Amino acid sequence: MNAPVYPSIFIACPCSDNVGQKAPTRSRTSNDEIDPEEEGQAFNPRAPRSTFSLFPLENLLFCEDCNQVRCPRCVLEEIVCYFCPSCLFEVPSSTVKSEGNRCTRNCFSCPICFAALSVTATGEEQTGPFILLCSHCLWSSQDIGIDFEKPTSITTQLAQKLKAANASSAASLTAPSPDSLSAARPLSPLGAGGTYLRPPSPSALPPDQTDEAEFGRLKAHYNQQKALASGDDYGGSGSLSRLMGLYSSNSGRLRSYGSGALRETVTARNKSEWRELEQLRTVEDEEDVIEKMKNAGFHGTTSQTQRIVQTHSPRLLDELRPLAALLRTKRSKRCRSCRHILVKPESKVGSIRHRIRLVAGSYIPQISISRLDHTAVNYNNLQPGSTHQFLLTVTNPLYDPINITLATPEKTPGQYPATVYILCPEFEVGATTDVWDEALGPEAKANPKVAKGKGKKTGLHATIWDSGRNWTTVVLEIVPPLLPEDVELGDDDHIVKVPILVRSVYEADIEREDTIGKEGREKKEHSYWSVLEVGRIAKKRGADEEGVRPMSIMSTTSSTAADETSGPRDRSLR
Amino acid sequence: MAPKSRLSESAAARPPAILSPTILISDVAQLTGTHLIRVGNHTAVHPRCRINSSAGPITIGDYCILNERTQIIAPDERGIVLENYVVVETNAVVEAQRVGEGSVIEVGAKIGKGAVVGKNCKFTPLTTVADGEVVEDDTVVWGFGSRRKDMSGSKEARRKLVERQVEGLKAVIPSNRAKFMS
Repeated sequence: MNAPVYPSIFIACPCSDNVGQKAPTRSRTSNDEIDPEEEGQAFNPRAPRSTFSLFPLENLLFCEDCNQVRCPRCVLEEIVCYFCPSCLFEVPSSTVKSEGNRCTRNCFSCPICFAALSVTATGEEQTGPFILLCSHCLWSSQDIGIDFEKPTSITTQLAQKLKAANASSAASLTAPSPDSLSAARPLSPLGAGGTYLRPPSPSALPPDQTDEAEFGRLKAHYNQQKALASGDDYGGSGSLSRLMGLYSSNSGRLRSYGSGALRETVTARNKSEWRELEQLRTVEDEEDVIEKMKNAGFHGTTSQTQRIVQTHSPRLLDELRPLAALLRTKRSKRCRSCRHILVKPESKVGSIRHRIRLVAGSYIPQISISRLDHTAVNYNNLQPGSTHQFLLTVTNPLYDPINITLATPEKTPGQYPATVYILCPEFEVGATTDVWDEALGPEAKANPKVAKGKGKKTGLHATIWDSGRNWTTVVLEIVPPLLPEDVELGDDDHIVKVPILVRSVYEADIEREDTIGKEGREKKEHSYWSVLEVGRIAKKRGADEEGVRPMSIMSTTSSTAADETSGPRDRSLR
Repeated sequence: MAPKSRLSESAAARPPAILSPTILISDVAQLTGTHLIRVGNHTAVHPRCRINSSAGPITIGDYCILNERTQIIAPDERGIVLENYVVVETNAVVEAQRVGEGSVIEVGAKIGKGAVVGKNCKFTPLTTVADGEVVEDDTVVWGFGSRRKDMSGSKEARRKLVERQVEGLKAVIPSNRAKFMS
C-alpha cells in the first residue's frame, strides 16, 4: 500500500449528486454572486461517500458539451480493438469470442515469474527441438518435459503435447502403484488438467471418454439450468443457450483441445458459468496428493500468485503450464449523459496516438500548493494551533484570461475543524500563450516588471502574491486544530482537508454553428470543488523541534523573512 | 562520489596484472589495489569497470564480460576467482570468493563478501546474496530472494551467446591493454 503523499489535491466529480453536499453547486447560469444557500453547504471531504467522487486531476476527462469534468465513473467505455501485448497483433472480436481472450500465436508468459517466454532452439545451428524459455528466471518448457518440433504455432503444438502427456499418464494410472505416483516425473498425472476431472475410479473410463462423459454431464446440467432459468425472466437464460450452442456446435474443436489447461483457458476465463467445472472436479486420492507435496517439499510447491493465474490451480511446480498472453484492449470513452466521445485512441495497435482526448487538465484551472517558508512547515507534522502559510497557485490552461474566485468555509468540515483563510480570493489569471510571448512580447519589453508582476510579494490583504504568464499565486493560511489527546481519533482526523470551490469566469469566442460572420464573445463559467489534503497534524503539540514558529502575514518581520527565502530566485532573474 | 582525476590514478601504483593478449579492456577501466590481477583469454572489461585487489588477488577466467560500473572487489587475502563465461552486468557488485563457470550476475545484483557461487547460476537484477553464503550450481535467484533450480538445459546455448557477445564487443570497445601492463 502506498503511503499518502502530502500535499495532494483532488477534484470532486459531481457525477453522483448528494455526495458531500446537499445540492450540486454547478450551474451554468452566470450569477455573479454565489448563492448564500449554496455557500453554506460546502463540500465535505470527510463524508463517507466523498472518497468515491474525489479524483486527481490527471484521472479526469472533460466533456465540452456538458461543461463538466468526467470521472472514470461517469464515462462509458467501448472497446476499439483487441490486441496481444506481446506480438502486437490485432485480434478480431469474433476470434476473441470463439477462441477466448488469449493470444493464440506464440505468446506465452512464464508461470514462475510472469515474464515473457521466448521460443529458443536447443539444437545445433538454431534447429529444433525448440523450447519456451524465460529469459528472466530460466524456466523452460523442458522443466515440464515439453519441447516443440517447429518454432511456429506453439499453441497448437502445446495443446497436442499436453493431450498426449495427459493420455499417457492416464494410461499409466490404470495400474497405479505408489512408487510411480511418487516418482518425480515432470508431467505428473496431477498436472494434466484432464485427469483432474477423472472420476474416482480411473480405470473405469479411457481418458478420451472421460472428457466426453464430463462434457455430456455438463451439457445435461446446463440444459437443466436453462430450463430453470427460462421460467423466470432473468436474463441469464439467453446467454446460457448461447453458451451451449457455442460448445455443442463445435464439440469437435473442444475435443481437439482435449486436456484441461487450454480448454479451460478458452472457456472458463470469460464464461463465469464454467468456473463451476472446476468446483466439480474430483480430486484424486488425498494421500497421493499429500505424498507428492511431501516429496516436492516447500520449494516444489506453487505460490499463491502462481496458482491463481493457472486455470487448473496446480499445487506443485511440475504442474505449471505456460500461460498464453492475455489480450488487451484499446478503449474509447464517452460521456455518460451526452454520449459525446471524450477519448478515442487510434485503432492501429502500434500507434499510441489519440484522435480525441479531452483531458480535464486542458480545460479547468489547475491548482497546486506549496509552502511559503519551507523551513517552517513540515507537511507530515503540522503544528496545531499555529498559523501555517501556503502558496496556492492557480494555473490557467485556456487561451483566454480567466477570473478566479476561490471560496472555502472558514472552518473545514469535520469534528476538529481547521481554520482556513485565503488572503486574496478573487484574482485574474492570464491566458496560456506562447512561452516566448512573455519574454519577447511588446509589453514585456516596455515594462518587464509590471508585466511579470514580480517584486510585489507584499502578502498584504487582497493582493496576490505573485503571478506569471498563465498562473497566479495567492497566500493561504491554515491553522490546524488542537486535537484532544484523551480521545480515540480516527486516522482521518489527523489530516487537514480543505475544501475549496474554484470558480472561473471567462470570455471566449463563440464556437459552433454561428461562427460565420459573427465575431461574438460569450461569457463562460465553470466551477468545481477541490479538496486539498494539506498534511498531517502533529501528534503532540511541540513534539517537533523548535523550528516551527507561528507566523502571521501581517507582521512585517515574518513577511520579510519569507521574502528572503523565496526571493533570491526572482532577484537573480532580474 | 566524485570520480578520481586521471592524474591521481596514474600516479597511484598500478596493481601487478597478468592480462591475456586476447583480452579486451577499455583504457578507462580502473584496476586498483596491490595484489595480482589475472585476466584470462577473450575477456571483455568495459569502461568504468572497477577491479579492486587491495585485499587479495583477483583471477578472472576466459570469456568473461565485466560491464560498466561493475565492482569486482577481493574480500580478503584469499582473493576472488571468476571462472570462465561469467557475465557481470552493469552496476553489480561482486565480493564473492568464487563465482562458478557460466554464472550471470545481472544489473545491480550484489554478491556478498566471501560468498561462493556455483556453476551456471543466475542472479536476476537487484537480487542480493548474503556474505559468506554458498549458492549451489544451477541456482536462479529471482524476484524478492526467491530461488529455483535451472532445469532448462540452456547452459551451452548461453555460453555460445557470451562468446558471440565478446566477439561483437571487440568491434565496439577500443582496447588498451598496454596501459595496464606495467
